[in-house]
Amino acid sequence: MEEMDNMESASSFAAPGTVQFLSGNEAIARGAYEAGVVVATAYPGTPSTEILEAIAQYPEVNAEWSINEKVALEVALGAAIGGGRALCSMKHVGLNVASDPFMTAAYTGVNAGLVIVVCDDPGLYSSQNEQDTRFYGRFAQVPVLDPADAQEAHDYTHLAFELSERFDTPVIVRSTTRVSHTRGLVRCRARTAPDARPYRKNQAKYVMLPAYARQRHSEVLQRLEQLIAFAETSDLNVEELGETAVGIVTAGTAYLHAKEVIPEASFFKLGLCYPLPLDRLRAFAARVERLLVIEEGEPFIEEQLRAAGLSVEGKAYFPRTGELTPTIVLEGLIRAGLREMPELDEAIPVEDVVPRPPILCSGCPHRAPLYALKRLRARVTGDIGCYTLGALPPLETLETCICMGASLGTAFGMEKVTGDGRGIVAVIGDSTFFHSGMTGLLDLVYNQSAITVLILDNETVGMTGGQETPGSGVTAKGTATRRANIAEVCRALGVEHVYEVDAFDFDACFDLLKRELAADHLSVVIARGPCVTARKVALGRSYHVVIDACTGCKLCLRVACPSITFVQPEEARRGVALIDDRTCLGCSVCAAICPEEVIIQ
Amino acid sequence: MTQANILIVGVGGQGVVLASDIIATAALKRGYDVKKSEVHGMSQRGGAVFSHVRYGERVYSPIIPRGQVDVLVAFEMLEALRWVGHLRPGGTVIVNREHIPPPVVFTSKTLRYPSDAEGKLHQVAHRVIAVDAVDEAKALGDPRVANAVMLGALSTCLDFRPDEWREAFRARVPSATLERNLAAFEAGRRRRAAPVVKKRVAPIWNPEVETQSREEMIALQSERLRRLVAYLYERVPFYQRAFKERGLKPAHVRSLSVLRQLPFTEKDDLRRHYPFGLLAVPQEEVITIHASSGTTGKLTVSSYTQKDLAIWSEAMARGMTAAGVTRTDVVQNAYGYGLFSGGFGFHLGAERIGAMVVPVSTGVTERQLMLMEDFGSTVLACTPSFALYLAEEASRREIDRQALKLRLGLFGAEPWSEQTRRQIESRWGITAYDCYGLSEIIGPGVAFECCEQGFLHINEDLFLPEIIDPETLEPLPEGEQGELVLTTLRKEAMPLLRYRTRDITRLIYGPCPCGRTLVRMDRITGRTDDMLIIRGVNVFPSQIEEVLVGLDGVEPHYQLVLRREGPLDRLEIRVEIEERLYGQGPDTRRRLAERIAEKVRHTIGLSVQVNVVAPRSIDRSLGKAKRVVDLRGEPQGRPS
Repeated sequence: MEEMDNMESASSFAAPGTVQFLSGNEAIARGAYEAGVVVATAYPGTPSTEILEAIAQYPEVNAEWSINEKVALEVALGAAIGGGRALCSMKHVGLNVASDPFMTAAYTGVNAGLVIVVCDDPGLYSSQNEQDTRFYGRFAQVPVLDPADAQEAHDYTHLAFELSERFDTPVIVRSTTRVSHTRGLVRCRARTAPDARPYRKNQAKYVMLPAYARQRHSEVLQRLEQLIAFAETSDLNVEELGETAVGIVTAGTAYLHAKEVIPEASFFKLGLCYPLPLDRLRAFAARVERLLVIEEGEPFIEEQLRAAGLSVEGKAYFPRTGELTPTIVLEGLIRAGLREMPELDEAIPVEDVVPRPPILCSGCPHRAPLYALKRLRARVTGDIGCYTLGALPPLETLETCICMGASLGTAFGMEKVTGDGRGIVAVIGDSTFFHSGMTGLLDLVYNQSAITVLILDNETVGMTGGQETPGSGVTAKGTATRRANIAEVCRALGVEHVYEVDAFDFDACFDLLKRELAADHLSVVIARGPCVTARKVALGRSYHVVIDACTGCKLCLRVACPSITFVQPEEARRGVALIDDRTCLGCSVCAAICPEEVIIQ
Repeated sequence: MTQANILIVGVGGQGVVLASDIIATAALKRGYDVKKSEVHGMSQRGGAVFSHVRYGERVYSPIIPRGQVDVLVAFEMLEALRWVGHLRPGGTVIVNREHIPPPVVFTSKTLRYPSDAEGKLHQVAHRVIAVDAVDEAKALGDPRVANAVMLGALSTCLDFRPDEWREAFRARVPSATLERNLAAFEAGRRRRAAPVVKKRVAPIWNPEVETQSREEMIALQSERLRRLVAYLYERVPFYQRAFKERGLKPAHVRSLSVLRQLPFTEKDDLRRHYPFGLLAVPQEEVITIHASSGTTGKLTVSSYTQKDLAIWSEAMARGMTAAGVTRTDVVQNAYGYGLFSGGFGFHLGAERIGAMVVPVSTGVTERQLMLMEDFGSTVLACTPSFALYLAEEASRREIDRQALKLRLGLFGAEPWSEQTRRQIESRWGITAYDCYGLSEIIGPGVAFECCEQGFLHINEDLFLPEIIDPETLEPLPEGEQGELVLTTLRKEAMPLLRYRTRDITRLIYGPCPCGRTLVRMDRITGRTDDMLIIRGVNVFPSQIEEVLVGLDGVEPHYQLVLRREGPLDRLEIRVEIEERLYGQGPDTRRRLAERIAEKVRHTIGLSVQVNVVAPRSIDRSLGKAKRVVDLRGEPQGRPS
């Protein structure tokens, strides 16, 4: 069965007062909507993407996909200064991109409320690191709310707008994969109109010249004192006194896991995990015999408690890496001597099975150019997107993946070591190019690089589910807009050699890349082909293997297509490749590389 | 506190998320607290995906603790193996029998798709329900509804009513495909109607023989063939004559390649030498005999020495061990004991293994069911049709299936289809294994199914198989279909050289995932003669014709109509009688019919229904009357 297209949106349109079954992301969108948000900005990134998708469904909200998180936060900040409540959402590494406006927005403060939702990815389901956003709150002295489930995600988002206005600060609502992608029951409310906060010119507050900024920094520190006082009294932080043998300080989903495996303990659940209510925590510590912090990721709470002079344990028993689960919490409690080892023979033994990493979809437009690079033995720096999967066997083409836009700079850096840009390719997707690649390309032009830049243009943000980009010509609200032309952008930045090629034409990709790799000048190759998964396009009739003629050379398996399998019948001396006609979309790449030419339509 | 933990796993794109949405919706409508947690992003690109669904009065963690999953619903075999360790003791795995190998296994030198994934699941999980969800979905015209089939299978493990499920589907599935999804849900629900018990991977009875290399096996067979030919040449005049006619001497036989020049033995040869003309030992060394029906009045007799019985029990022990029978089992042997070799064959095998045999023989339905309950029978051995018949009787008598200890069945002596296997497995909640044999060769035990099911391993160190073209009599290459020919390599009393079974099958060499290297034969797909197998009994139309032509007033025009009534075969004989007899009224006709039925029963050992009909009422428009009308819809093949 296939999902209803409008399912997510249908649930976001919850009637006030009703209980809805929402994901954490939908709950955040709903909470912001109810809080009267007027502007929502975001750049897609797992696990945050659905927040903007859900909020874009409300006609009252001016929602947009920004070009990157930096711009998204600037737009949201401008909206807040301009007097409208604004929501800006991103994944954890997005805040690195937006950290420049973020750090200074902490100084300027807001006018109408500004809530920044940052979704961490402990366990790296779909990210390049597992940084802990709570440190950004402490870094900027901005409050961080830490919901545990969808209801809290909804409620905290509401509250975040009130806190933002009350304390004149941006507020971070920090979610995680497990909060964002868990559905739970959420009691919804009606949309309320916040107090009007018309824009007033105030250069001392919004122009961060050194003289003004010095003044604002003091105010930030005063504000922090007020926030600590708030934390000491707020019911965001809840003390649940149980048995006093152990007291557990926890936050987010870690609270739920702990509650599941050691329900009898005393709990101090932090809804506001920065700044900490240290007085209340001291009192809590005094009531229990042993103080334990269970938190996902870094020892953020633990270290602050220790610095405050409390005797506390935490990461000695619980991992700093990966996602916490009830099982991992239980294992930590066993290490801490608070739980017995379970009977071993009860456990079901498991053998290691072959991993199933994600792979490029059948009909993916990235396959032919990536395989061409493999054949050409190019040195390839990579970027963030579906094509990062080209680093895995059997393609094994990409050699670096750092952050959005990094492919260009890292490729150029490699060129600078040898002085020869030939054979070096930076691979970047269309949306990533718009996000952070254009500045890098200008740097390459300016500094006279001679590498090849391969832009894989599938007209969407593929990995996160096919969101619109400046190149797709459609906004987040579904309206038409001016369509950015990558070739024109490149030429405008000063690249002389800009070529476009059909991404599904392996031979054309191969020939063009071969020529440009050998050339001693900067060139941009734009391999164009739509994302078949996001756009649901059929490319042509499915291909099949002429079984009798297949020599079993396995070359077609090198393109890592999920539609191609290899069978080795017991009675046959040689195996043969088979193409699943239910999933083959007719991209033709395997047919183009088959040396026997026995893959036909 | 009610709390259900359901883990749904699969490959990105299989519809894991929607399936979990539907479960969550059903739970929500019950008023439970529900949490549902899943992965998005990169893994959805063909990677391993999961969704946790938890519901109850109050759910804390969105993640099911390891070892607390009540039901693991796996849309793919490898994914089931990946997650089965999360199951609680006593938990259930519902697995789609689809294999989606990660492409890396095709290019990697070290990574492999696990062999016998299903068997491994059975080893570790308390209860495994394997569903051919894609086949079921395809049968409904849309392979994409496989996830709804899986939900149907799941539905009988959870306590939501069917209308609650349907409501959940309506809430989550677009109306355009709702009907198709509901039909798939129903199909999955039916599929799971019967309890399914744990299948174990059985040990190997005689690993030295059953797992030896092809080279070793050929060497062994060559040596045994050489000895056999010398033995027959010396002791059996029939074979000595046949060799001499071909100018062959025992010294010529040095390897298997000479096999194709050796003479065949046919059923007629056995009839012509009835009863003891083919004995290779003095008659006093024969300690028992068995027999099956011949093409005409005379039986086909097989004789056994003490050593022959030892060979037979070895062959049976291998097959029964492969099905999972151990010394702790109670084997209810409902094959016929008598001249028919079935009952004794299974008896010998069970004895050899050390299991307890209940020699109840066939029939006496009520007693069968009583003993099954009272003795705690764990293994049922009988014909597949009788197994189905017993199942119907059991449900008619409202016998609680859960109270029975039955876990596996050994079925043979008549051809049966995969469909029948599924019926038996689901009605009894057991795993059903096929076995193959014929009394001329030994009885049951010539070939047997292992845990892989589908193909039968031939005890080829004892019974050397060949496949020939029944027209040209030339051997066919490996894998091609043809007539099965068997040579008994070790028998003492009445060894047979190249016996033509008339059964059509094919042979597959190469090791089996179960570990055995014994050659495998496909299920029998047909016969090269007109033999019928009715309720486990071989019947040749010529036998019945012989009875009919011996009776006064009966015309030589008849028709044999085979039907399946309930689980059992029924043979109806429609026969024309003379005008004058027909005109004498219904009483005469009834008496005549009874007389014919009695005669036939006497000859072939089967109760039949006889309908005497008016002259020329059997259609013979094509010149020759169609003698056999088989309405059973089963493949025709060989009995034991």
